[in-house]
Amino acid sequence: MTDPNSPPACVEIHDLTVSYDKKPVLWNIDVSFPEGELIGVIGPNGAGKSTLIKAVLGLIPADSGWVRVYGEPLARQRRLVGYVPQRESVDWDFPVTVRDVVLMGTYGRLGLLQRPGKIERDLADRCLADVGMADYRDRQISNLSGGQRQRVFLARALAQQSKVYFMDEPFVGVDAATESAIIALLRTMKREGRTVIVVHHDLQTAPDYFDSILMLNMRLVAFGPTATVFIPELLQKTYGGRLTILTEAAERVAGTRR
Amino acid sequence: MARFWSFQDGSVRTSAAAMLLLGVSCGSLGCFVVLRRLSLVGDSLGHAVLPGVCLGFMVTWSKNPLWLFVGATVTATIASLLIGTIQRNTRLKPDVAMGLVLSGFFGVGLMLLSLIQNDSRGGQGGLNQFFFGQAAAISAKDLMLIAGVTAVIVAGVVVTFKELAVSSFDEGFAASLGLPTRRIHYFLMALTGMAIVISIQAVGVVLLSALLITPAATALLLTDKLPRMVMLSVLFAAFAGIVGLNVSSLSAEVLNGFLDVVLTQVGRSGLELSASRMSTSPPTGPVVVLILAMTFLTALVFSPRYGVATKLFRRWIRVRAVRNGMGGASE
Repeated sequence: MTDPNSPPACVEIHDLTVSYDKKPVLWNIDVSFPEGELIGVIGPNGAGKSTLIKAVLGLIPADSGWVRVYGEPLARQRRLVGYVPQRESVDWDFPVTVRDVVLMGTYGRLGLLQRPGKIERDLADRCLADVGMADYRDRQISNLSGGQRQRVFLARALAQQSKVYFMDEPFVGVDAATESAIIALLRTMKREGRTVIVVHHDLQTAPDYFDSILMLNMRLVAFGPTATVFIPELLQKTYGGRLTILTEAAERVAGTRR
Repeated sequence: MARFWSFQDGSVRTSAAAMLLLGVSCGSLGCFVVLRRLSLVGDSLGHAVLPGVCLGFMVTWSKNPLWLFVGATVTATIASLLIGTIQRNTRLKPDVAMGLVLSGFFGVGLMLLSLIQNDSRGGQGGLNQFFFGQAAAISAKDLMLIAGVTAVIVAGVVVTFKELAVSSFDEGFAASLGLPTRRIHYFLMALTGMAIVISIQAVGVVLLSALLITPAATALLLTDKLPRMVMLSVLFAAFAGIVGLNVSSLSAEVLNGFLDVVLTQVGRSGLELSASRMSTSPPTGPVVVLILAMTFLTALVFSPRYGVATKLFRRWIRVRAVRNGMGGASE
């Protein structure tokens, strides 16, 4: 099945099974992500999209299976992997400024007792400029809008200077300007040879944004180039049941957007 | 009063140094306890040390600081493990688990305490100081223990500051960096347990959590930077500790003399005067907590950014500006 012309796999997931309270939420996920692509992860609510990301990153324990990053176990490749969690997962009243948050992206490279210095601060400022948030550097994070918070999280991920990124719903609840800023940023990252795996909700934009799409509904439904997998049959299989489900889902998504 | 602040008296010096060190320990750890929403854990551990203190006392039937420390540490550890076990293995939520453990351990502690006090062996004098604290009773030996533990806590917080900060803000992200977030949590809990144990003599088990929570909460109202929050919290905790020690160590006479002057100034009758006289000096715990509460209230009202009065004032300015602007437009 492997095409000799395809780029090397940067993330290899083998036989991954995860359960919450003994109830399985992911079954035997077996997939390899090619390097240098923008990859969308889609599926209905409760399909295990966030769980997949968290299990791959080792944030929740897996019942079985393993994950390799550039051929090595994740524990040895932490610095190659960046992460953008869901915005709601943190307390935005925490006493830190925008730049403090971005600096956290450099903590993986700093040892105990080592504090971020001038090099790290300059890097953080550059990352903030890349997401258009340079003017907000010294703001406390609770004063930011949803879109601005998402940009801060992206800047923090950029400061990690990783090769592979996992992003959990970065497009949810952001303004149109932020959405286009994020997609422009993702494309820049791709041009730099980085791989970005994005959990995504919006079926209308998915085919425009991603080179490859992974369809998930507790099991892996399909993974491949967008043109070959983003087809009614597979969408139906992912979202279940009736023929109209695709249009229904698209309408629902369109309806909830602002 | 002047005699206190000259620190001539050796025992005053000892207690004041102890309050300062406790302020450093509890003030700094309290910030992380508050930011991680573990305030109730502090309270639970505070109550859970009582049986340990009693058992530690029963080893030698004297207030040997080392045995008290060991006993308190053991029961605090058991309590925190128990809270974790209940949470993981039942459908009960964390607040319930903590409530159960807190009251259960405190109950056992109270029973042991009554056993000790009815015993004929003696030496139990002053054990009930552990309820509300009596900082004046801190001995040179106690101070050495407090200083040693504080040194460990300060070193622990300084070395892992960055890791504590990032895992408190975003635990998932911290774990994705490869930080051992679970171990960081238990490390913080262990340090907090140690801070609680050394604070018992000074503020007592009942009000212990206030020394952890109130200074940190006050500091959070005043700053948006974590290092500054820690510094302010330490400052408030040490300030309340030393001033509280001063107030409670003033002899009953001095306090009554002070009351005489105040009440004469406001023109009360002699009868009321005698009624308001104090017979003994109050325990340190409540006095310290009272001072902490007053600093918190001050910050709550007057904090430059989040104060209630400040917000009202800013609103008033805005409303006035709008009104003036409208008035100008209509003219």
